[in-house]
Amino acid sequence: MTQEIIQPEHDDNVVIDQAKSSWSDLWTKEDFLAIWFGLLFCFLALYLYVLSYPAQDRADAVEKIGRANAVMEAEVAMTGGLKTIAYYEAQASKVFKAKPNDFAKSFTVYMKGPGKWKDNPMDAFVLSKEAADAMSLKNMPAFEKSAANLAKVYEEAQLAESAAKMANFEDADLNADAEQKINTWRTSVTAHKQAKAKTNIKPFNILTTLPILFLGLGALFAFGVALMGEKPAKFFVGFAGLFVFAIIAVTLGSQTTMKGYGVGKEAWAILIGMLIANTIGTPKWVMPSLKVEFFIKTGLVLLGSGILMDKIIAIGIPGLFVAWVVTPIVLIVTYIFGQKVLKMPSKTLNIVISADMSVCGTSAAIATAAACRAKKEELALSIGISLLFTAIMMVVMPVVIKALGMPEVLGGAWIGGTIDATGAVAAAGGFLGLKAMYVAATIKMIQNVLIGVTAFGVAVYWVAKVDRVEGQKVSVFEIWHRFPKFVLGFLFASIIFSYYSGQLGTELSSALISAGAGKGMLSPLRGWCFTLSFAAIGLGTNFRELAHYFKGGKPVILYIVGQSFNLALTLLMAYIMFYVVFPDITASI
Amino acid sequence: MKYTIAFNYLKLASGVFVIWAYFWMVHPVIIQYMPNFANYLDFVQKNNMDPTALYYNDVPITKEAEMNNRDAVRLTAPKAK
Repeated sequence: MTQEIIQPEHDDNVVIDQAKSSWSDLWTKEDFLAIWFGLLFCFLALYLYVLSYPAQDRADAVEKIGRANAVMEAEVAMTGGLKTIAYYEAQASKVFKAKPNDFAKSFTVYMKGPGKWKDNPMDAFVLSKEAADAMSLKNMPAFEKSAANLAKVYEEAQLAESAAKMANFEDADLNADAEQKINTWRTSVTAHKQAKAKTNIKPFNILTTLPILFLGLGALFAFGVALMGEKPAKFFVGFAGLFVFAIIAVTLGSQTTMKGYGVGKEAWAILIGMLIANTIGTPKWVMPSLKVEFFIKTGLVLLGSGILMDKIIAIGIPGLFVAWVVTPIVLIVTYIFGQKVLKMPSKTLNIVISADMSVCGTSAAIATAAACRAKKEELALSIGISLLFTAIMMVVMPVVIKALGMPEVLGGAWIGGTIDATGAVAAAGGFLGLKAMYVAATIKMIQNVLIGVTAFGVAVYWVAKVDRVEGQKVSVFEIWHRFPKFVLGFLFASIIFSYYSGQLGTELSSALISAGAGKGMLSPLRGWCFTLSFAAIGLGTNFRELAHYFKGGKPVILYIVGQSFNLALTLLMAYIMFYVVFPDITASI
Repeated sequence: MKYTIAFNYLKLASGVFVIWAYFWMVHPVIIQYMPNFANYLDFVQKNNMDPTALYYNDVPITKEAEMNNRDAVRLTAPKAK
């Protein structure tokens, strides 16, 4: 029996192209080039931040962690569960900083984009020494006030803890009072740190570093374009326009009020890009630089370095159930609902919206769109819907949770499992309280890690099931030919970094991998790749095409139905896991 | 031809104006009538939070949250009922 699969015609409009395997693919296809480029930076960051970390410093850190853990254990054993001031001070001593060399520090400096601004957009680019000093001085009274407040709440926390201790930590009211006052002190510590940082504002001028960044990114991707057999000079000229447009989008997304609304650089890139493309038209000289797929795939391989598998047990089995059991169920049920009930005309749009809504918003949408060959318009539409509902949910959910008198842990788990955007989850959780913020952020982090599994699963399902002729079998070779190879780079980066994360342990992994290699190199680079891709999506999207996908409002109905199911199932699972099966964990958080 | 080009630029300018008017004029007025939104916005800005962050390692508080929860789970030796 002849085995055949559907071979869709080549379409420049899709997020991923199709591949026919040959050895030259390794250096001519964008999937592989994205892998090599992404992994090059992953290994560089791994070397600079993890492998070159001095052995003696690592041994000292391990010893310090051991001592801190011993103090924490002793405190919990003494109090029967109440976390004392000494407990939190020991915990704070486990926070380490990476020690990047000069090259790594320079890399971080040159990756910087426009910063925050309120009234004048130029504040995002330049801050003179005089202005920085004046701002620091202006913030001094607030810092002094926060220091006085910190001293006051610290004393209150000490008194409350002493009272609880006098009763051998057996008086529930005294324990509750001590817990509340210690939490107030912890919140004040965070506020004090922020106030302190505002008294030490450093001058900057990214107008001198942005041209270097442009040349670096332009040269990198132009080299890739040349290997793909296209004209690098034309790409480079167009890239100048794309880069300037991306800077405008980042600047708009950095405005403090817009950030608060949840309208970030991605939304601005799509919105303004579409406006230009559909009015005056995208300039022809910019068109060769609109390599949406190349930017996305490179960004996704870099994102793989943040998919650390040891994160999934950060809050024990309850977190695993809320984030890793509910999420796939919601994803699959929403997709089936879209196909069987709504009869969505596009399976790719259906799965991208389902993943965006159930997993973790934009980053999941990007990974899924690339894995299933979704069109640019489909990705833009699903992100637009997600941003709209995120903006609503991040405000409404804390209000509803407070109105219902829901416990913070339950509320935090509910927020973490349902609001799409990771930043919005932390903000909404924080609005409820410290405990809710910790639970919400941790649940979302565990859900973030699911992106790798989702992208791999969708890629396999698409090549093995969706793209084949009904009733015909697909050989393993055919699956390999059509499999989006960049997913392998994405998973490889995840495996490598997960291995080192496991070796280092939570505290050192946070310092060297998340805050070091991630924050210092890979996250900013990934951010630029995604911003460039969104700018390219905006400049290449046709309103009519977008309206075609929006027909009948089915994408919005799909999102609302899926999100409603997500809200109900997440709340039920969070309640069962945190309050029925594992109340000990809940009490300890 | 010139008329079409001018018209297209007019459309672009109108689009920019509509976006500007919505986000910088209309939306702040709407928020004034929604105290919950205003409080939330105030909280986010005071605490230097970024609701637009895409991934957990773009959100600094996640590190602290993870350590807090890991220690809580580890030290209380959880048991299912």
